[in-house]
Order: sequence, then structure tokens, then C-alpha cells
Amino acid sequence: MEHSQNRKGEPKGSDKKPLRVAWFSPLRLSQDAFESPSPSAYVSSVLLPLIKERCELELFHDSFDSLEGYPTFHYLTAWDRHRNNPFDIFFYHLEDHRRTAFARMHLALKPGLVWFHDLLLTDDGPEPILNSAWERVVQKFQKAGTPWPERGEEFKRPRPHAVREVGIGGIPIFSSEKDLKEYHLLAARMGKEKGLAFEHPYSEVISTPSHDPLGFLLPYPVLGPKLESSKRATGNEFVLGLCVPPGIEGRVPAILEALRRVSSGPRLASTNKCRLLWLLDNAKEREIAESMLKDFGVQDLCTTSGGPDGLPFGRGPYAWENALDGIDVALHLHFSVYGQPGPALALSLAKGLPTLVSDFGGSDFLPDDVVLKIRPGAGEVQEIAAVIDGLRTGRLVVDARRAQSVATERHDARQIADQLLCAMRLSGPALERIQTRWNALEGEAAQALIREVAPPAQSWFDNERDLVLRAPFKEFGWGRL
Amino acid sequence: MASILVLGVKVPFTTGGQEVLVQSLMKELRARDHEVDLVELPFTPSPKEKLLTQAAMWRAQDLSSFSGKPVDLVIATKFPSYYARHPRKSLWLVHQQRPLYDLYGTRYSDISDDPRDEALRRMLIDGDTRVIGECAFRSGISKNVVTRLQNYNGLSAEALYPPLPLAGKYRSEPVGNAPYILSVGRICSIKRVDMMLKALPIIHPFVKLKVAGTADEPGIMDYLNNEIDKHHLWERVQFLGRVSDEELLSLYAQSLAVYYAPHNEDYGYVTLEAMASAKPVITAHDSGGVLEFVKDGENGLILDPTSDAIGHGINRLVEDRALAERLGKAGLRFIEESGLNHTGWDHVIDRLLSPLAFENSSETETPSAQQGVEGRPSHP
Repeated sequence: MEHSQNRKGEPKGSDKKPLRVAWFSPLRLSQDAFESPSPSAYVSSVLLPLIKERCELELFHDSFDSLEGYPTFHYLTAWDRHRNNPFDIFFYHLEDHRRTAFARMHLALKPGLVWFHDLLLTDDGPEPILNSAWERVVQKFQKAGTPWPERGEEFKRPRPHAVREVGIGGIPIFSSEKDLKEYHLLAARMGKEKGLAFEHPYSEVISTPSHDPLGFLLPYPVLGPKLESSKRATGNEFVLGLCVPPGIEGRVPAILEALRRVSSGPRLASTNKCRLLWLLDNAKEREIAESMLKDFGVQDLCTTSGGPDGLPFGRGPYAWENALDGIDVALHLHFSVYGQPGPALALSLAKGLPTLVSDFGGSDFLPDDVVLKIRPGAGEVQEIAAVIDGLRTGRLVVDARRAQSVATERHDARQIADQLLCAMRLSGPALERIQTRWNALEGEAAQALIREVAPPAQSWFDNERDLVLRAPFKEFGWGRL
Repeated sequence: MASILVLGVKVPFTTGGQEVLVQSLMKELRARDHEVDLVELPFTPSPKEKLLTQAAMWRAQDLSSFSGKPVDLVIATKFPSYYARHPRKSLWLVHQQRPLYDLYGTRYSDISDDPRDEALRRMLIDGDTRVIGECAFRSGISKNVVTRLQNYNGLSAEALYPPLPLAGKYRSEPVGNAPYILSVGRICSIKRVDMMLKALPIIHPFVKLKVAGTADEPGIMDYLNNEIDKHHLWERVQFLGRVSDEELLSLYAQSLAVYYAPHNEDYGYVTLEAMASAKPVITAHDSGGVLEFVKDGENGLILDPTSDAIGHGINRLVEDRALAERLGKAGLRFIEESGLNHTGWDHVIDRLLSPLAFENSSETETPSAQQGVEGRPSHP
């Protein structure tokens, strides 16, 4: 993790008072609840128990349901809870999925620390932020005296990146080096194109100057990666595991074709047959998956969620973790600028499974001796088939302990929890500065609203109107007419 | 007998359930020999900044007496009427300004992430909590409405369902050879008439759609007419506009089923009118107050909120008339047993007038207000 220290080498703000944290995330409300493939919900479920004793947590999500053991509230009540007992940190999880739409909205109402599980977003967002005038608001935030945006002024998202969320959200955390690097490039571009300054907010705590705006890197946490053999004890099939939706981003067509080729080729009697274990989220995904399996003629070689074998729906990280004992090879191919393999990849490494990834994007940063990298495009199918066959026959051997040691070093949940708290403490002074300025902006917004509601009286009628309304406005503390 | 003002909110040139409720309430109060009148101020939801002004206008009204005659009680109904000031205020909440609350973040809300909009939202939520908290008696027209009030404002209230406006007059007739689905209500996006319209192409072509009600959203009729053109539905969709009570009763009576699948509805007279006419209700999983009455497979169909699901659901009723009849009869039985016909008014009036039963209402809270939890909801 990139981190900053004061001149004495201690994280600034590391006093003993627990931080009061407003934690915005989708939540898995119980062990029995259906698990969506949400990295936010997974990260929250792993990290919250590890940090709850060390800070004062309140959880916010898009529902009035509660997570047992934690004070849990609807996100629209956060402003009132903050008013009554201010939070030190507003902490948001953001995904390229509508389940975090509430966080995407709220981070512009109260900036804070934002964990970007995705930096590129496929849609413009929920209604409140369509045509959001966030650029003007950020300009106003950074430079007092800038006018408010005109009502009805429209802003289009200039690129797929979460530019609004990066510009207004506060301080970012990323799970992948790719996204962190992309953020630095984005910040530089936005500074140049839009005149928006992503100043380094902690210049007083960094011993050497940096031109890059601060961002934290926190890999996905895995609880207790164990250095033990991952060899499966039983089974006469060689099982490939997959937990992606049926689409080209997860390289599903290439995988299915490779499976077909491997299964139709010659095989020694001592070599196990291949089977694909494909976790899916719901019946609609299964319908599409079954159709693809038939197209490639591999429907007899595949077990899917929701099928007659009784594998339940769900391709979230916990479902994947439960399936790992029955898998010989984990497939985490991904070829798209959107999305990433997510926590499932970390879980596979922690299990010590041979793991295939695409030689693209975030996988660039994984050591070549830890994962098997497949180049997308021409030759991809042959590569996948060759690797699967090599692993199946034992011609290709992967050192499980190497993957597990990387997982331990990089993904250990307790370390990640410590680093997250450290990031919160390090961000403290900067976020305090941001909050102070933001509170002032909120006051300016209220005054601007009152001026919109009742512009200066132009006529006797306006005077009469003001006289009538002045008392109620004063009574409610809405401002002075 | 008491002199009572009913506080209504009128969007000019539109008519909906709110007007029906207010007129029915006044009629029932007069039938019980109370002196009743209506105070209405015009309301417009846009521009949104003017919501503050409109709330303040109500607050500025002194309703305690007129021409030296005291007003014993006011009954507020809808935002922003409950901002009115009176020492004895009852609330029968139709709904608050929902774009600030449960509709925030959806396409039905115009509140953006602009800090000025956030300031507006907070001011009005605070104002709502305060003025609704003043009420000597608090109730809402459904469990959905009172749950919202508890969740967002931390205030408890009773659910008092409005009885049917034309109680005793609903009837059922056989479905003719030209079956139709009936949709009743204001034509606006949240009522999702478009979802029904877009389902028509997959419904048997001899089934039509009749829509009773007027549009109260700019551009909505252009949008619906475009959809009709796109799917060649000119012969299958009929917009009837505002209809008389007698016409409405006939429309219900002769329909195959009634479509009512708004997004998170407060209450929905239409649901109960359909049941009183022994017709099955087609609704959706997210239709809110409607689901307090409709049970899937018992007295209606609760479907996914998609045109596909709606279309296939309706086809089931088209192809199995015995099913449609069974569901409709179950709905009628529910109405007969529920107290939502005419006799239901005794209980409603009794509760709304409960503040009058206390001599010093400024010092003594009615049971409803005593149960109120001030402040925001919190998790233990």
C-alpha cells in the first residue's frame, strides 16, 4: 500500500480516539441470504468483524433492514445522524452496478473515502446524477466565489471513467494496480482539460513531494489463507471452475471451445475427463449459458448452477469459496476495460489452485510464476486448451505454495483491515479539511436556494409575499427572506 | 357537533384519489352532523425550489377561527397541507412529497445531487418531521404510508384505510365477447400505464385496453401515443379521459381484469374498486400499498414489473376464464369481510376526531401521538 507518514514516521492522526465511520456498502444481511457477486458486500462481510472493535461504525445501505450486530441505517438518514453526532469518515464502496447507486449518489452529498471496485462505469448512473453539474460544484468547492451552475445546465459524462465520482468523492482506494494507474492518468487529464486540481491533500505528511494525487491500493481480503496442499483427494474428473456471467468479457466462448477441443481429442485411459463447473447468478444467466453450451456441443461436460445436479444459484465470492474444494483449475479470464476478476481470483490463489488469467489489464501486475497468463485473441483457444490439457495430464505443474504465499502476503484479511484503518487515519486531516470546506459549501447552497425561492423584492406584491412568508421561513430556520 | 376544516391540496386541472378521498371525508363528516368546509391551496411540484414557499404559505395560515367562530379541528391530508397551524390538528396522510423520500434516486424524482437540492431535501424533511409531530392524531391511508413516515421521520401513525367511495354501487357483469383490461387513474409515469400498453403485443389480439383517467405529466401522452404507433395498437387502446361515476362502475363491471401496477403505490382505490366489482387485479411485486390487499393466485396476480410478465399474466386470465372468475369472487369476498365498504367510515371518523375527545389537547396527547417516537429511527 502506498501510505504517508509524518516526519517522525508515524501515520498522522493515529491518536487513540476511535474513528467514527459511516460505512456505505451493499450488505449480505445473513449467512442464509442469497449472495450476490458483489465485491463490496464481500469486502464488508470480511473486514467489518475485524475492525468493529477499533472504530465506531455505522452502516448505511439502500434499505431499512439491519445487519445483525451493527447499527444499520438507510443511507438517506446519514445526514441527520451526522448532524446529531458527526462522523470522522464517510466511507463508500463503488461498483459498476446499480446496487451501489446509492453510494454513487451520496458521495457527492458528503465526500469521503471511496473504494473504487470499478473505475470505469458502463452507465451514467441513477437519476439524481444524470446531467449532474458536478464539475461546476467541484470548481465552486475548490475556488470560492465561483457561481453556482445554472439550473438545467447539462453535463455529459465525457468518458467511461467515474470522473464525477473521482472529482467529487474525496480520496480513492483501488483494488487493482491497473485502476490506480488509470486514476493517476485520469487525474492528470482532468486537471489539464477541466482545470480541476487533484492536489495532493497530504502534503504536510509526505516526506517527499509527489506529483500524483494520493490514492490507496488495497487488494481484496481473504480470511486465513492457509498454506496447505490444495490437491483434491477424490474424483475421477478434472474440474475447471468458472464463476462469470455468460458473456465475452469472461472469455466464455473461448473456454467452451477449448473444452470441446480438449474433450474431443485423444485421451489416455489414465487421464481424467474434463468437466466445467460453472457458477451462475440466476435463471436468466442459466438460460443463456445452457444455450451457449449447446452451441459448442459441451452441454454434457458441464455442471451449472440451478441445474439437475442441485448446485444452487450464486456466483459470489462465498459461493466460489465453497466450490473450490471440488475444482482442479480456476478460470479467471477477463478481457474488457470494464470490471475485473474480483475477490474470486484472490480466493483461488489462497487455495493454491492453478489459475488461468488473461494477459491483460490488472493481471499484468501478477507474477508469471503465480498465474498462467493467456493472451486474448488469435491463438487464445489453443492456449487455453493446451494449458488445460497440460495440467490435466501432469505435463504442466504449478507450485501451489507460491500462489498461496503471494495470497498470504497480498490478500491476508487482517493485514488489509489494518491497512484500511491506516488509510482512514492518514486521510483524517485531509478529509477534515475537505469536510470543513464542504460544510461551508452546504451553507452557501442553502443560502443560494433561498435566493432562488425568493429573489429580492421587485414590487409591492413581492414585499407582501415576503412579509407573509418571512415568519415561517424564520420558524423553520430556512433562511432569511 | 364540531366545526372542522379539511385541508386539501389541489393540482389544478387534475383529478385523482386525493380529491375523491377529501370529498368522501367531507360527505361522511356532514352525514354525522359536523359543520365541515374545505380549505385548499393550489399546488405544483415544480419548480422544486418553490416547495418551500408552498409549505410556508400553509404555515402562514391562521385556521383557528373565522369571523369570530372557532375551528374545533383541522384534518390535514397531503403535503404541504400539514404545515398548517392549528392547536388541534389531525393527520390522515395520503403521502408526503415522495421525490424527497422513497422516490429519491429513481426516475420519479427530480432531486439531483446538486447541494442546493440536498439543502431543499433536508429543510423539508426537517420541516415535515416537526409539523407532523405537532399533530394530535396521526394516521395514514395505508400501512405503506405509515411505514414510510416511521422509517424516514421517526413518527408512528395508524393505518386507516379509506372506505370505497361508491360503496354499495359496485356490481359485476359477465365479460362480453370483446374482453378488455381496464386501467384507472392519473396518467403519469409512476402509474406505469406504459408497461401495460407495451404488454399488448403479446396478449391475444382480441383483448383491448381501456384507460380511464387524465394525464397530469408533461409529455406523457406523446410518449404513450408513440408507443401505440410503434406497436400498431391503434385499434386496441382507448383513452377515455375523465369518466362519470356511472360510466366507471360499468367499466369495472364489464372488464376481464383491472390493471393496477404503479411503482410503490400509497394505497390505490382502484385495487379495492376492482375487487368490489369481482374482477381480478393485475399488479406487480413493487406496487406498494396494492399488495396489502392483493394476494397472488387468490384474488389477483402479482407479477414482475415488466411488460413481458404482465402480458403473460393477462393471457392466463384470457385463456382460463374460470381462473379470472375465481380470483374476482375472492376479491369481492375480501371486500365484504373487510369493513372497507360503507361501514368502514365509522371507525375512520372516530379516530380522526379523537383529538376532540380530549379537553386540553395541547397538554394531553391522543394515543396515536403518545406512541410517536420523535427523532430519526435508529437500530439498537
